[in-house]
Amino acid sequence: MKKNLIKFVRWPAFTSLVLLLAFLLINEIVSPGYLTLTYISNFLGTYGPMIIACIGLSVVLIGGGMDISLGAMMGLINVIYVTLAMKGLSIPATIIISLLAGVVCGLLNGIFVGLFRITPILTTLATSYIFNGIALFIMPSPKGTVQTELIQWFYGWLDGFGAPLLFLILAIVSWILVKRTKLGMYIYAIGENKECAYASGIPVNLATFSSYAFAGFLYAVAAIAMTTYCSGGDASIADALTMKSIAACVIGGVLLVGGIGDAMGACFGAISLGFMIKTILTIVKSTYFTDFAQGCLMLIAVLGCTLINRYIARKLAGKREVKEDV
Amino acid sequence: MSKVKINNKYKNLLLALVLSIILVIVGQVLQPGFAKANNLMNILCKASVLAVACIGQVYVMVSGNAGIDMSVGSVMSCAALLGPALSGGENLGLIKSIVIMVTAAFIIGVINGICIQKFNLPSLVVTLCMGMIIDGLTIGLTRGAPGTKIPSSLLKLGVPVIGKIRLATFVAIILVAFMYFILNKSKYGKSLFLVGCNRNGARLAGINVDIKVITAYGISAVTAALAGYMLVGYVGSAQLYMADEYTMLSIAAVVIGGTKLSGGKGSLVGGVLGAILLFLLTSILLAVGLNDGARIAIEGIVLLLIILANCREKKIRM
Repeated sequence: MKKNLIKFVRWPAFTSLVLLLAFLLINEIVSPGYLTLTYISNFLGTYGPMIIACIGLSVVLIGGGMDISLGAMMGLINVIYVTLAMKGLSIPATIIISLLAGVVCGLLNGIFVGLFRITPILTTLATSYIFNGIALFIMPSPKGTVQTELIQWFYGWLDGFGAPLLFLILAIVSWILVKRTKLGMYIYAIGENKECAYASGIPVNLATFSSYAFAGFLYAVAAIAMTTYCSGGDASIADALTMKSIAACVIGGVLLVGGIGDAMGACFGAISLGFMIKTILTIVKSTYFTDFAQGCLMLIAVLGCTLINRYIARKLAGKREVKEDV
Repeated sequence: MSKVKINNKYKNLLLALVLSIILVIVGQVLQPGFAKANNLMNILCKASVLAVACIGQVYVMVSGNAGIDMSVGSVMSCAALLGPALSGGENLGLIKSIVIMVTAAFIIGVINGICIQKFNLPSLVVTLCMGMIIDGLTIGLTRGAPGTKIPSSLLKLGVPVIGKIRLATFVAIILVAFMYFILNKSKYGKSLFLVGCNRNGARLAGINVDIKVITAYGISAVTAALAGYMLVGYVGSAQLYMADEYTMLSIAAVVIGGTKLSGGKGSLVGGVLGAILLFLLTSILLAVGLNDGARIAIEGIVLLLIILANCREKKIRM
């Protein structure tokens, strides 16, 4: 029993889970009786894409990488999706092509990081220009819409509650599948120490490619969810998501140096970030200062969660029996 | 047979310099009149704003531990918007406003540095959050309406003074020279390089690592604020988020100039050359008449190729 408890507390996602529950409570105090089904469906619609993108980003971070092309890539996929939908392609075809585009973009990042050995942050800085440029080339100004049936399904199924949840569950399940396979272990290993992983016979490049490609796949899922929710095309639709996702991952206990963390933590971190923004929108009356308050709260959350995580890791470091699980 | 041996130290500088010259020639071929003094000096003027922003980025990257300052653009926008407002549009108030903004920026940088160095947080995340805070503060303080008069002396930055060379270029040269002296000749700069190369070594050598790193972040914010003043002087009017892209541009320019993200290696001159290169590329692509999307994509590809050429990581297999 105690062993399980320690295991749970040592779980990198633990702190963000506590934070999430805390903000659920704070929201209840700020606006009593807020947690209705409409609220949840709205919340999932607005922040669902960010949560999914965070799961993707955390896989890259766990593998010791970094991805700041997230927003640009989601913008590109959004534009591709809308353009194809306007051309009159069927729903499955557009979805499959968009997912493929995501995988290809992610793979591109992965190849430059793995094969050409460019520092991840610089690679993704350059590719974010490329993705953004291509997106602007395809669609210079915001326009377009997606298939009507898809919007009807998205907003109609289970009161608009089912579709975003389905996307989210898809992302989480795919993460769990990846984590359970050898590939998941490889990604953790290369994040922990690339040289050791290589010396142990792990295909480092393959694992790097797959972590970025998997992230690209999840960005595509997120972009599709976002596109359907907004039902419009815009190359810069997800620009603000890049920094929020990185912050959410850090809040969720994913270390930027790699090797430690869990995508579920990133998921909780993103949800808490969403609740934070909601709380601020309720508390801060002056609309001019919401961004300021958001930034401050985010910095405090990052600081607090990192310090608490570090404290937990240090306090329970002696427990050998749970160590290999982290 | 005499072999020309290039010092490894200058290899990156040479790459940026040669590419810049090639770009000028290409520009002249594609668009006759591109290499005219007026046009080139205009590009140089734009590049000087970025060059000043790059100074701080170099300091931060040299300080090591994957240091990066993502709040450059936000601090620049903040200074560009609040600076003229603080001066009240008068020339006399300008000095006062610069003093206030520089102090404020230094405090912001120090907060960044403390979060990064004392609490050991990743610099990327801290400076990203700080950028958001500063952007929010700018919106809050200006009420989203940046409609202030800009002091006439600040507007002179974009005016040619000697020949076709703009005043901003001279300001940038003075600032870069001064900061170059601090980075490469002073005790502080030398110890910063050591801190970036080897934290433990620096600590054992009796250097107060925390102070050095925190100061580097402070300097970064200060130079960003000064670059914000230069930007608003050159552009002539302040807008919200006007310097947003400068964060990424400064990182790109500094990296092109051979500064290593891993720390301990960096050059201000390289940053300046990188800035010139980036603006030359942009203006050639604009002169050719490409639309925005294609221009940004080509810039990205060129950036990727340059990074590929001059800063790859070590092979895993020794």
